[in-house]
Amino acid sequence: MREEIAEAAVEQARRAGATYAEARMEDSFTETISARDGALESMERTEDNGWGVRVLVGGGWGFASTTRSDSHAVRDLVAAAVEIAHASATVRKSPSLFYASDFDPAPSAEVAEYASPVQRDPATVPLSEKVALVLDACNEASKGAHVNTANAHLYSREQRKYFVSSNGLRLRQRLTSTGGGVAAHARAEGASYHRSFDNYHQAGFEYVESLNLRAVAQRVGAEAGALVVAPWVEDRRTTVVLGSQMLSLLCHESCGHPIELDRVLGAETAFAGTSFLTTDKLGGFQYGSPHVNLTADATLAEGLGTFGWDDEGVTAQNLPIVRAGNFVGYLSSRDTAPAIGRSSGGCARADGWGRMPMVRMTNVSLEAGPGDTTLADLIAQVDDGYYLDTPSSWSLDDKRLNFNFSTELCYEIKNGKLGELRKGASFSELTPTFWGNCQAVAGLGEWQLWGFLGCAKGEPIQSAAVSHGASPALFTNLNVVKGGK
Amino acid sequence: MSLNLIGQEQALARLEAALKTSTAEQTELLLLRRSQAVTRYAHGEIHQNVYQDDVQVGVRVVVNGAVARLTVHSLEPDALARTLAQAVATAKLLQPNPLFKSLAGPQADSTGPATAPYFYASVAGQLPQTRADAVREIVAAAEGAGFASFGTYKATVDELAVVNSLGVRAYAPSTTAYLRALFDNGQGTGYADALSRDADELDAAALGRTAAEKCRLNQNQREIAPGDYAVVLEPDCVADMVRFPVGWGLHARAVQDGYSFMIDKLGQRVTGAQVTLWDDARDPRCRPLAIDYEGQPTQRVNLITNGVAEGVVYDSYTASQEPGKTTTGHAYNPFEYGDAVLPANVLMAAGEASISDLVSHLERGLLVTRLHYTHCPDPQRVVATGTTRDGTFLVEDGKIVAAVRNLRFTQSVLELLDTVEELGQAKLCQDWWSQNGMGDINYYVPALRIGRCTFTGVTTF
Repeated sequence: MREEIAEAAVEQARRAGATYAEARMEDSFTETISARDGALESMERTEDNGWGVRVLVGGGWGFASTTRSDSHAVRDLVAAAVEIAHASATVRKSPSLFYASDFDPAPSAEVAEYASPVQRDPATVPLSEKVALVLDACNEASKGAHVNTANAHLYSREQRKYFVSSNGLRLRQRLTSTGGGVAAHARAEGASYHRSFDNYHQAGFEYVESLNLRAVAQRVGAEAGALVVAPWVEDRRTTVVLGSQMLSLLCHESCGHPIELDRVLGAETAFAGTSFLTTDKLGGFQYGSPHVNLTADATLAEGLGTFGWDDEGVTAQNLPIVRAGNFVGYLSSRDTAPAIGRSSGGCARADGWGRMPMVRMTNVSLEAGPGDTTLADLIAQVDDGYYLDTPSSWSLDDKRLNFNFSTELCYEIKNGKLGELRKGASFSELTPTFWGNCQAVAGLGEWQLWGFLGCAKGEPIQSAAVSHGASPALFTNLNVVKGGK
Repeated sequence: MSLNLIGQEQALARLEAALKTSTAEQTELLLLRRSQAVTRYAHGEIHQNVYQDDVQVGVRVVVNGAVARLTVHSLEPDALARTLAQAVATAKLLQPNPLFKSLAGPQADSTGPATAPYFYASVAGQLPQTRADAVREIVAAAEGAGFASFGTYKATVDELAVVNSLGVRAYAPSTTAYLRALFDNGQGTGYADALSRDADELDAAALGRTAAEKCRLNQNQREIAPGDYAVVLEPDCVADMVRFPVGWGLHARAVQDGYSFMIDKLGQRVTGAQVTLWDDARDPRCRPLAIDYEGQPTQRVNLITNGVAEGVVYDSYTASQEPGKTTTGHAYNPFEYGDAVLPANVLMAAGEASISDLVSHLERGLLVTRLHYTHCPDPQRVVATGTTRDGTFLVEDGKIVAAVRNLRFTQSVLELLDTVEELGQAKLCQDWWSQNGMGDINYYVPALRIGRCTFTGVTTF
C-alpha cells in the first residue's frame, strides 16, 4: 500500500480537530506448510494488507481500520475514527486512568528504519525444500511405537510496517520470523497421549535449519509411544526440576500477564481480569526467591517480541521486572506509564493493521543463574522428585495468582538421576509461593529462547507473537498430581 | 463509517468471475467480510473504542491431488485473479495428498435468507453513539449503587459467501450484538451479559440491574475448604463445561485422531440420563446461520441423547475419511482456526426452574456465576480445570448464606454431567473463550443443579 495514505490520514485527523493522531500501515505475508500422517495436508499463504488510524479528539479515543485504499478511503476512515472519538468523549472521567497527558502534539520528529537480521530469506527458499523437510519430520514422528497420528509444520512470516504520528515520527520496520514443529499422538491399551515440539524465532530460514526437525521428530515420536504406556504420575508434594520450555510458559502466564500495566489499572477487568501485582507492590514485594531475576527485553536477539519501536513509536527497551526476587517493573505504554510516574516502557503493540496498540509482552525471560550449572547438575541435587517439561494445559485465575499447569513430559528423579517416564503430571500453586520456592537456576549454557505465536489479549482479540527464555530451574515443595485428578 | 453491504449478487458475482479463470481441477473461493465495532469501558469511562472493516478471500485449489490454500484481504478482481494463479502455481509444486478426496459438492438450501433471524439493521446501521449511550446507562447503574463498572459492547456484521467448481454457491449475511457489564465493589464483582443477532434485544438497564444485584451479594467473602460440593451452575458456567466435550470429543477430527471420549462409545451411556445435547445452527434460540464455511447447509446433529452417545459432526474432509459419511455442515472458520470441524451451535435440553428455584432445592452447596480461563489437562477423560469468578456463593437450606472466595475446580465433565439433578431455564451464551474472541461456539444451555463438583484449590480473593 502507498505510504502517502498514512500521512494523509494523520493530516486529515489534525484538520478534524485531533490533538494527537497516528496511522499505521501493515503488509504481511504468512506461510504455513503442514503435513499429517505422511501426506502434505495443507499449504497456506496469507497476504494481509491494510491500515488504521487512531485519534484523540475532544478528549476521547477513536480507532478505525480498513483494507480500502481507494480515493475516498482516507476521508471515510478518518471520519469514522473521529465519530468514534466523539462518542468516547461522552463517557469520560476526570481525572482519568486511561487518557494520559503524555499524548500531546510536542514535536519528536524522527525518520528511521529497523529490520530483522536475516541470513536466508524464507521467501527465497524453494518450496520443494520446505515440503521435503516437513514431510520427513512427519514421517519420522510416525515411526514411534503406538503413534496413531503425526503431524509437522513449517512457519514463516514477513511483516512490513509504516508508522506516522502527528508529532513527526515516520518509522519503517520489517520483521521476519520462522519456525516449525512436530507432534505425535499415540494410542495404546485404551489410552491416548500427545507429545509435541514447536519453536519460532525472529530470524530467517537459517533458524528452521538449526532446529534439526528430523531428530526432534524421532524423539517426539519415541516419547509419545513410551508415554502412552507409562504409569501415571504419583500424587505427592515434592522437589521438581522444570525444563526450559515449561518455565518459558510460566514466565508468560505468571509474570508476563500480571505485569501488564493496563491490566493492573483495570483495562482488562471485564475479560482477562486484573492482576495481583497492584501498583502499591512496585519496589516492595517479594515476587520470588533471590534466585529469580526476570527481564522484559524488546532488544533481545531473535525474540518474537523484538522490534525497533513499539506501535506508539517508542524505542524498544530492556526493562528489569524482578531483581533478586523483588518486583521492580511493569510493561507499559504512553497512556499507562504516567500512573506509576514513569515514561512508557515501549510495550504498546498491535496485532496487525486492524487493531489499536495496547500493552503487550515483549520478551519476558527468566535470567540464567550464575556460573555454569547444568540441567544434570540440578537433577543431581534431587534425591526424590520429578523432572517436568513441555506444557500441555494451563489455567490461571483472573488475578494471575492461582495457577494450574500440566506437562507432556515427566521423569522420576531418583538419587540424583532421571528414572522412569511418568504421564499426566499437573501442578497447582500460588504465583509468589511457586517462585519463592525456586532454589537454583541453571547457567547460561542451558538458557533457551521459546517463541509463542498466539498470546491473546484485548477486545477485539489481539494475538501477539512473544518470546520467553529460561534455563531449567529447581523448585521445592510443589504439589504434583495426576492431571485432572 | 457507513456500512455498505457487498450483498449476495455482488459477492457471488466477484467470486464466480474469479472462479472462471481457474485452471485447477477443483477450486473453492470463500469470502468473509467482517465489520466490527467494539466499545470497551473501565472504571466508568470508555477507554477503547474501535472499528475494523476487513475482507478476506480464501482460495483453495486442487491440482493433481495436491491442495493449496491462499488468502488475500481484498475482493478486487485483480487481487483475486493473482491469488488464484499463485494458488494453482503453488499446488503444482506440491505432492498429492492421498487423504484428500474432493471439495464438497452442492446441496439444496445453501443460501440463507438476507433478513431475520440472521441479519438485523439494529446492528448493521448502529452508530458509535448508540453503543456509548448503552454504556452510559450501565455506568450510571453502577455509580448509583456505588460500584465501579467495566465491560464491552461488540457489534459485528458478517457476510459469508462460498463458490466452488462443483457448483456450490452460497451466501449468508449475519449480525451479532454482545453487551457485558461487570461491577466491582472493591471486595468482589457482579456480572451480566447478553448475546443476540439483534441489538434491540440487548437491554442495558436490565444488565445493569443484574450486575448490581450480584455485586451487592458478593461482599464479605468467606474462604471455604476445597472438596466436593453440590452446585448450581449458571448457564455461562455450563457453556464453559460443555465446551470440553464439544472441543475435545464431539467432532469427527477428534475421533479420527484417536483422542475423543466418543471412540467406541456410540450407543453407550456417557453422561447422566438428564443430559441431551445436540447441535443445530438453524435453531433461532441459538445464533443461527444457514451455511458453514464450505457453503454447506448446516444440519442438526444429535450428540448425546438422554446420556447416550449418539453422534459427532463432520465437514467434507472428515466425512470422506469414513465410508458412508457425508458432511453435516460443520466446517469451522479456516481463517482463524485452520481446517477445523466443530459443533458451533450447541443446545442442551432445559427445564423451567429459575436459578432461584434451583438454589432453593440445594440443601448445601455452591452457586457459581461464571468460570475463568478453563483448560483440559486430560482430554480423554474430558477433565476441566479453571477458577470461579464474579460471584460464588455458599448455599444452605436453599438460601444463599455467604459469598465465598473464588475456587479452582478440577473435574471430569462427563462425571459432572453424570450427577445432573435438575435442569433450569436456558440462555443463549458463549463459553469464556468464545466470548472473548478465541473461538466462536454458541450455546443455548440451561442452569444446572448438580450433585457433585470437585474443587481442588482456593484463591486468596
